[in-house]
Amino acid sequence: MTYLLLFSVFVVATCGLVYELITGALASYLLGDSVTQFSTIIGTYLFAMGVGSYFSKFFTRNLLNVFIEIEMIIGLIGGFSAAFLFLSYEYVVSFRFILYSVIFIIGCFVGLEIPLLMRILQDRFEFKDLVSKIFTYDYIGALIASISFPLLLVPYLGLVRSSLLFGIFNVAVALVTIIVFKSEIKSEGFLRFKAIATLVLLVVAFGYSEKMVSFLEVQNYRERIVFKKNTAYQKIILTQNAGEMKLFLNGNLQFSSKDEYRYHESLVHVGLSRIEKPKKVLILGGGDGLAAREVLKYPSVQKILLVDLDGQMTQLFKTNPILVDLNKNALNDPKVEVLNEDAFVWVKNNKEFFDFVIVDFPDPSQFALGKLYSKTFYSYLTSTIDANGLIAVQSTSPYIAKNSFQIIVNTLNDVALYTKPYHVYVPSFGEWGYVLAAKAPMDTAETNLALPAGLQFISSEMVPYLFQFSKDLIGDSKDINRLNNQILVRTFEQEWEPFSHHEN
Amino acid sequence: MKTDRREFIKYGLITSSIFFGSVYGIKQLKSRTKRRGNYTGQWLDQSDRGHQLRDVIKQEPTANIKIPLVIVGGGITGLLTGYYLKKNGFTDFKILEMNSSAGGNSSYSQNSVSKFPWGAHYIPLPNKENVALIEFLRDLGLAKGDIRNIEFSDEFLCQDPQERLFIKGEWQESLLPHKGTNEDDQKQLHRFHELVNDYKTKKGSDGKYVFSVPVLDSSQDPNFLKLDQISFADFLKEHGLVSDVVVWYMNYCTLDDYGMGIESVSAWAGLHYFCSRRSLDSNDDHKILTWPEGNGWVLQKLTNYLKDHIETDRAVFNIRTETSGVVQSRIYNFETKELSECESKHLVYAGPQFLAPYLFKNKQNLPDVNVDDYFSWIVANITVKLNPDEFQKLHWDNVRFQSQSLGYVHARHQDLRGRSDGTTVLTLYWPLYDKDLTATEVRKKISKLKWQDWAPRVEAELESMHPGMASVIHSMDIKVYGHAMIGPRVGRIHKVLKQPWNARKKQGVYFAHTDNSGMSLFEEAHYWGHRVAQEILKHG
Repeated sequence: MTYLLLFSVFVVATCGLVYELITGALASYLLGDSVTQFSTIIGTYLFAMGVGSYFSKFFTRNLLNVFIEIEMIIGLIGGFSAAFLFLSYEYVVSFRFILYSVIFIIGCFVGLEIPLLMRILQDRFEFKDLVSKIFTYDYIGALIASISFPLLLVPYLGLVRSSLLFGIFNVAVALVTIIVFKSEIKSEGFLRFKAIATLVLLVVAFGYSEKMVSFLEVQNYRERIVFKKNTAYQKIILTQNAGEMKLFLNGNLQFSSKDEYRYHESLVHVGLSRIEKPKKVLILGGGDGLAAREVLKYPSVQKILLVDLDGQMTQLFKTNPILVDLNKNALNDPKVEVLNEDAFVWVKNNKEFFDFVIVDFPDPSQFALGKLYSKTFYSYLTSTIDANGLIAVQSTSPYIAKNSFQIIVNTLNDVALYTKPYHVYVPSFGEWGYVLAAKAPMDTAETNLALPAGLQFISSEMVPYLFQFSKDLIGDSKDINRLNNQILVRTFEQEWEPFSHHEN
Repeated sequence: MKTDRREFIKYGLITSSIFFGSVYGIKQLKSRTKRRGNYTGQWLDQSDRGHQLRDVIKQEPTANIKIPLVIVGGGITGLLTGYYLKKNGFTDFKILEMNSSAGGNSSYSQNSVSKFPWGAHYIPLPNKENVALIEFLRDLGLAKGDIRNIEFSDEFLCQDPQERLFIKGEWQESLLPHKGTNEDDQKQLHRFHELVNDYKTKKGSDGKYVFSVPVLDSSQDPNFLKLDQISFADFLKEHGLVSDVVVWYMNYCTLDDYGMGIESVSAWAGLHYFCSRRSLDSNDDHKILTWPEGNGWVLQKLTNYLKDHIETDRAVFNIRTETSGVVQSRIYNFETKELSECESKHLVYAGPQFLAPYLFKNKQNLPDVNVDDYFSWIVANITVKLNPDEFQKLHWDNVRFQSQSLGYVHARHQDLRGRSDGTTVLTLYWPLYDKDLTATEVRKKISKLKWQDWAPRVEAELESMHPGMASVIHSMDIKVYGHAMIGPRVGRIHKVLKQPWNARKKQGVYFAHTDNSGMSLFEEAHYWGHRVAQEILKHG
């Protein structure tokens, strides 16, 4: 029976170290800078263990009862720690406070364990044996934990499930102790009930951990999430970190406030500045209003029609103060009309001409989006411009996905549009591509562009160079993206595959 | 110690029973809330009206009418007969349909989510020799260009991704199994593929392709026609194509087109499925035309064009040719309950031919078909709201390996919309074939089954492909077809080819139906509609 207690030293030591490692890993995962995170977590944890050890002297009676209660508490708090921390990261403003509180509480209770066990066992061994045995098992446990954590637990179970599993071990120690030391324990029945209830709770949570993990969306938004909404069509997530704001749709980066001006100025001005006194502009997609912001810099523009499927998205960019600040309140401008309709269906039914059309859809990463880059879509798109009109299409990265880019060009050419591809560097995205399309040939050597004042990136002199492509940006695909081959989505998938953290 | 151990076991048992009990309980609770999601649906039984007629047959007519040409049956063949008559300026005809809407196996419905099919739901691209069909499809606006250089519109070609198969717990692209198959399976599939490629271009001694669409264009070379005398199952065995994977795939294909398994259809018919279509160009292999409402799209064009000629809720029976050559018949109006005696110059019988003995007074010279040539089907239309991820992954056709059903098609697949809220209608096809029973025995077995009996089966089928789907079902409408379609059993094609069909089996009477061909394909319906109309125009 005493050996059972020594075995529990081993289990308890393993669990204690695992919680520390989980919290450290979770903190560096969510907050970055693993040296800082691990070192502060370990420091806090060790210090808390010291605090626990100190307070152990105040427990004088029913030590076995106290030990059992502590095991259950550690099992419960430690077991749910990872899930709780992931959850609070998304919903709580001061995440660090919660993080250190949790690790401090776990540390305190773990700190109580060894002193208590030593006192429970003090009558059964000689002092020198006791110290030697307890610390031997303690350190073996630590070894097992630190080896299994990176090799087994993280790869096979993940953080949430590992913490639950070790919570189960803690409570199992409590339960076995209750059963074996029945005669030495007070109010054994109630204690046993509590232990069983805790165990069931943890086991059920472990059984449902897959659902839990997907609910917690344990994915890497490295920045703090300031806004999250699941609309009927997509998941909108807005993050903020040191003054930089990022918008993610379904986990794909749409823009970073730091360099979106490069992306949007290139999307809009390279084409729009070629049109003499543009009056009517059509924006397909672009519900963030950032392209509209750029178009509004042309005083001759009388009407901007923005067709974006997601009403909740455009509403967000009409009302959220930070976002309205970013798009200069463009979506509330009287010249801007927002239509929340599907762009394909709208374009198919459209009878109006526009001077300039901006096509700003998410990248063709799914079949549904691939339709908006298809020959059928483009053949309807041609009816939105007359012989003098221009279309600018955002066309993914010609560096990473050169064939995808080429397929977009090919498909536009196949509906009898003249094309001029161009590209810019956007730090958040990398090398980024666009295609300018029209019903007549275009001259890209032009440096006398009617650019509005106050641009941060585009200038007349540099625009001709954007149409130059280096060798590594040119794909050789001859394919045309059709609804019945979706070759673009398939190519895009292949080309982006090596970049697992694919953005935009 | 003794008490300790006993106690230990006791509490061990208590703990584990609480644990396993609660896990089981939660599972039960979950499955109970899942099952019988809170949905309802319609039950559509095709056979009601036929049975009502039994009493009407004894009544005396109360009116006399004259319709120069009566087309009995508003299925696709009847409608196409009318289409070609009207197109050529012949307008003195009526198409009489027993049901309250025309369409037969191409009928469709619509709800707030989408249109959806109740039967035939696609048309393969025609062979280049089938000029009449190509012209027809072009006239409907499905294709552009010169007949020899026709281009089908992308909007109506089945969009990518087209087909997927649920096998060994996972989805794979294409219906040909490759996930979890062994080398032998793949070798056999490869051998079959080579066999098919060989037959596709092979011609008989009469210079015709061995397998062609329409069937009547196929070679009559006895060397190949003898394939109609053995079952497809025996043929596969003879060629060593016996692996589970191959046999499943072949059986799936014959069930899909004919409603019968490989034990019943002939080797000729089984091979016809694979070898009769030669793509217009190399890019067109396996391309099909499809619409949310399936062939209901074509049906709408036809009924719209023929709206002055179609009369629904009309049954025609007691058909007889008088010695004067005039064709007499009785027409019952289900709406007014009125029975009329009708005099016609011609009558086109475009209904299923197993009914002919009940509708013609003189039983001689009737088509040689049998009720056991027609198996039953269940078609279920399930309106669901999927989560966006699941919706994204849908293909047009979604099939489960070794399932009894044929899987489901997804009505909003052809939607041009880039994004969707996840609502759609899934059409699940379930041929009620049993290799150990005749079609009549199957009908008897299912005759008592109603919506309440089928809905859980359909639900279980969906659940086996998509755990949890039951809880997102909004409604489920189910239709049972007692005699869904003719299947080319052993010997049928021989009859079709060897006793060339005579358009006027009886004086003044034409038989126009895919039953003439022994297989229920759109191309066959078109062939007979077109041909019978030409005959009528020729003979006036």
